[in-house]
Amino acid sequence: MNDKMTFHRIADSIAAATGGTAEEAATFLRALLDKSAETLARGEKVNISGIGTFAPGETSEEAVLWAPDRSLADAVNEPFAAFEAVPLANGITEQQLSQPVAPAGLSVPAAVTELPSAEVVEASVDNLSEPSDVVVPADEVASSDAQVAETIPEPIVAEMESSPSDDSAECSGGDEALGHTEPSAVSDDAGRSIEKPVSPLMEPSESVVESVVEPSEPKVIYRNVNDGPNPWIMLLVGVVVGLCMGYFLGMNFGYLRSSISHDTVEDEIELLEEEEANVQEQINSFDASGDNMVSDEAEEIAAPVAETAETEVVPQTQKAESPKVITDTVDKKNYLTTMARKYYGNHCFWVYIYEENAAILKNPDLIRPGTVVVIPPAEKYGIDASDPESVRRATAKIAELEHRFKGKR
Amino acid sequence: MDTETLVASLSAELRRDPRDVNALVEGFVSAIRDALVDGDTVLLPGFGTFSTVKEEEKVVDDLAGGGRLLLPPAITVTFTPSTLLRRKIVDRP
Repeated sequence: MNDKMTFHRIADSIAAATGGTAEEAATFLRALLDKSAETLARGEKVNISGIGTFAPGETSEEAVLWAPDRSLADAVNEPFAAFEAVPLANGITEQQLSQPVAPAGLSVPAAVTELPSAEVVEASVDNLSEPSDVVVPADEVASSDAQVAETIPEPIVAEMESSPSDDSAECSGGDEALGHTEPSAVSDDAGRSIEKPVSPLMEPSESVVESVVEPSEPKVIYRNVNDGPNPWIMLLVGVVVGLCMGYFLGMNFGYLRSSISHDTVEDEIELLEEEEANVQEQINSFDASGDNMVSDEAEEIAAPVAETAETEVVPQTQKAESPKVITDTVDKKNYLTTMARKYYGNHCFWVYIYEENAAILKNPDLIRPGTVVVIPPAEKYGIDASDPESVRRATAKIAELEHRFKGKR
Repeated sequence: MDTETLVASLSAELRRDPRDVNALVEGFVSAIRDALVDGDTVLLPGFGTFSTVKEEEKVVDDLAGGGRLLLPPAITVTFTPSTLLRRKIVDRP
């Protein structure tokens, strides 16, 4: 289809048709063309049966007048051979012919007429979908359409199957039967009119088109992009809202955390202050128990305690019932000796602190910084810095410890 | 010059039997017809070009009947002579 047949391809086709060689066919084809051209150049016609007649012309634009052979023209026009020229009735315009055709299942009977006024023919679907070979009496058609001024001309499809002469005869006969109206049905011998379908090429009138119910076809509905909010704007709004919510939640959460941590720190500070006060109180009590360890500060502290002894009877009894354990932490500046001097008044009493915490201290010469030790009360080991005997016992214990851990460093 | 004359002339020129030449002519006609039926264009150098044209349906005035006629679509064959052939014909004495 739409291919180009060159000289050699034609020669090959001739060779295939005749059973000869391609060279013989090419030689023959060249001779045929040259002979035809020479004949035309002499002013003579060339008639090749099956191809057509070539006649020399007078002008350069019409140098060759060619009339195709009937058989060739019919063979080429075979796809449209079933169609013939049909006469058009009055009132049919080319615009109406170019309108889209009605579906095959909704053929409009030719009896449907158009009204002269703007009235719309209310043709039912059942009437429109009647088969084409339905026979309707001519009287019925004439009576039902009393206001009809002009009928639709005969269908083209029906006309194409009949000769033009027959068409004219039918038209004239229809004029006689229906007066000034052009007939839409052919009368048979029984006086009945046979309706014929209207060709798809002809749309009778707009009123008929309005009454035809289009068959239900799947409709594809495309969403208009311009309808509704822009998705990008919606995305941007969502991001902004999310950021705002995250910001407020973060602020509230941070506030709660800061308030909680602040409260916790305050509680810890209060607890430490309370412990410090208890330790100081115990120290004062230790100092007060010794005769030589009474200092001015202890007196100053003890004085207000004595003054408030009566008012704080209940708290003191509660403290006596549950004495608090004094602890201290070993670090690079706070050794056991430092603690002994701090709590007992003499560094040699560190041995009692060691004995109290022997389970966790092990070697007294290898105490890790950060170790928390319990400071035993002085009464437990008879610690008295002013007593030389107490100091001597402590010194003896130190010598014993040194002997025990000698060489274990 | 009709087909018989053409065949006789070609037979004399090619020194071949007229029946063979007639068969070749028929093969030529068949090849041209088949190509045009398929919608192909036939190019014959030094002679011309055969091609097909589809004409749409149209409404024409019926001069004989006095009305109008709706002509159906049709496929027609056209021939365009080559420049060499056109020059030979126009420049003929």
